[in-house]
Amino acid sequence: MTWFAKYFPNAVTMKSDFLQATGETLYMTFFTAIVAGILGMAIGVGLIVTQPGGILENRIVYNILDKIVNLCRSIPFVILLAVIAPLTRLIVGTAIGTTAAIVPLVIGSAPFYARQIQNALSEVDRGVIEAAESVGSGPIAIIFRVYLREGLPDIIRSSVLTLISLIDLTAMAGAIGGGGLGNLAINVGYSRFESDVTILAMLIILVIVFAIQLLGDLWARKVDHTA
Amino acid sequence: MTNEAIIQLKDIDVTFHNKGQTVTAVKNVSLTVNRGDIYGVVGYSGAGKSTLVRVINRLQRPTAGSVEVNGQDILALKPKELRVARTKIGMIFQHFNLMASRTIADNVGYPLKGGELSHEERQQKVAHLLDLVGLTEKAEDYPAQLSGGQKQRVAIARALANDPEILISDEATSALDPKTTSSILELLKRLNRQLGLTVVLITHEMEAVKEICNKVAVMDDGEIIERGDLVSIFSRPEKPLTQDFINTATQINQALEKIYKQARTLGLDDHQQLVQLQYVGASTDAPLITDLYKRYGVVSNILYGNVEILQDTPLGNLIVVMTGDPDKLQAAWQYCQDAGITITHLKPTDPEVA
Repeated sequence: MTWFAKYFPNAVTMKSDFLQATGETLYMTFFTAIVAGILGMAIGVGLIVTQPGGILENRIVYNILDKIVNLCRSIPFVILLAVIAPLTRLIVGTAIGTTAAIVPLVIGSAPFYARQIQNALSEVDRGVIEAAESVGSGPIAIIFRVYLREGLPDIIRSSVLTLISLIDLTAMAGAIGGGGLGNLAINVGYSRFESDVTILAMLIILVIVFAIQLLGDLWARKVDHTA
Repeated sequence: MTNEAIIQLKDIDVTFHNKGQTVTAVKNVSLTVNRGDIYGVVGYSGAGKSTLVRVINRLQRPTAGSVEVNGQDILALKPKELRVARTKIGMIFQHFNLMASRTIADNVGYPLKGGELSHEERQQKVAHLLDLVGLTEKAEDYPAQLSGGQKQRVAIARALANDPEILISDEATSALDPKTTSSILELLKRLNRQLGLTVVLITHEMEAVKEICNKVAVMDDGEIIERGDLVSIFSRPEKPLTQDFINTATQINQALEKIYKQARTLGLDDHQQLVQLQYVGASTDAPLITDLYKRYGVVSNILYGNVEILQDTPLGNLIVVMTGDPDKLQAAWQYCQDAGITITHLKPTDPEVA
């Protein structure tokens, strides 16, 4: 570890801080992923089935969902954090801290995920949907047994993409009070000119990102039977 | 084949509106399919035949008209009732439309999911269906590992999962090579016999109709221009388009093209005539050419000959150059007509007329 101590003189003394920050980052990522995942999935499926030519075509619902997604995606995340602070306070009780960060993170990532899901599901062959209709499948059966099943490889790939961009967002949320590796990198490493702390925080984030990418790719390949 | 109607389409109109443009895909079409029929609907792409058959299971709601299937008014059904009705109307497609993420057995068993059968009963049913289409050993494979013909067999098994009485085949052989096409058509015919399945076959190939259908309707520009039982349509087509389809199927068109090229160089005089003789059923057996020579001294030079067996009825076509005195030729033609043979005089300059 002498090598490590030589190149990371400050970080080496901050083991517990790094452990805590990594835990916070994973905590924010995990719970945001669950909430935003369900929300984004629901909106994405809603967009697909209500779009023109969809199995539950509905122009009004489609346009409302479409506009909400576009609106939320247009707001820069840093500004979103500040703008929805009152809402966060209402839900969590405070606008500061790791748990509080989950609210803006959900609002920031769910619309992105919804678009990803919409794109993934639009790749499902229209003819397969029609075949399912022709054997008497209703909308619910088609959503769960055809769309989500046939679209699974693409859903996994988009989920990986969303998770990675979510980690990016947690770093940003961390920097303004959410804790986590982003907080460590900016408020400790950058502000105190301890750049080894910044670099180590970055390396840990990279490891998390690569791990997600690798597992996602393996899983997607496992369920993909198209070739 | 009984005379009991299983599908009755009456005065069907289907109109699409797209960006201010109105397209009428089906115009005032009525069609009755009897139980046990294999009914062919032929037409070039864009003729509206796919749109028409999709009205049968209401994948397409008609703009006007009535649809009765198995005594049920399909257009009056509530969504849930429609789903039940659809289980009795199987459908297969040009591009098979199998689910890539499911095994063959799972694809076939898909329509049974959420139904009344237990897991074991479902597995038995799937095994039986795979056996029916001859793909038992592929049960655990995925669609991507199968050939086109095998995929279509899986699609057929899937379409039959709920024991439908009707099978709609929407260009199901159009993406397959001729040999595979024949085997799929054979399978459809076998299912028709074994299960009493009524088949509606959409295609742009008269060859497919020729092989298995007992009735045929020809569609053009959203309308049925001609219909009837297979043998009478093939032996006495009224519309040029029907004739064209038939000539392509019997390969007369290709033969004529070559003959015309040659005939122009031959330079036929008024003692020679290029004619097409067409005969149905028993008259196929008569030694016609010999008779013509013996009785009228007319020599027939056969350029092309073909016999089709349609619904166990032979249908023959001969293209010959007849040589003889003009009045003898006239008498010979009269003799042919009396024998029930249709004569068409061919003019080499006009390749359109057959």
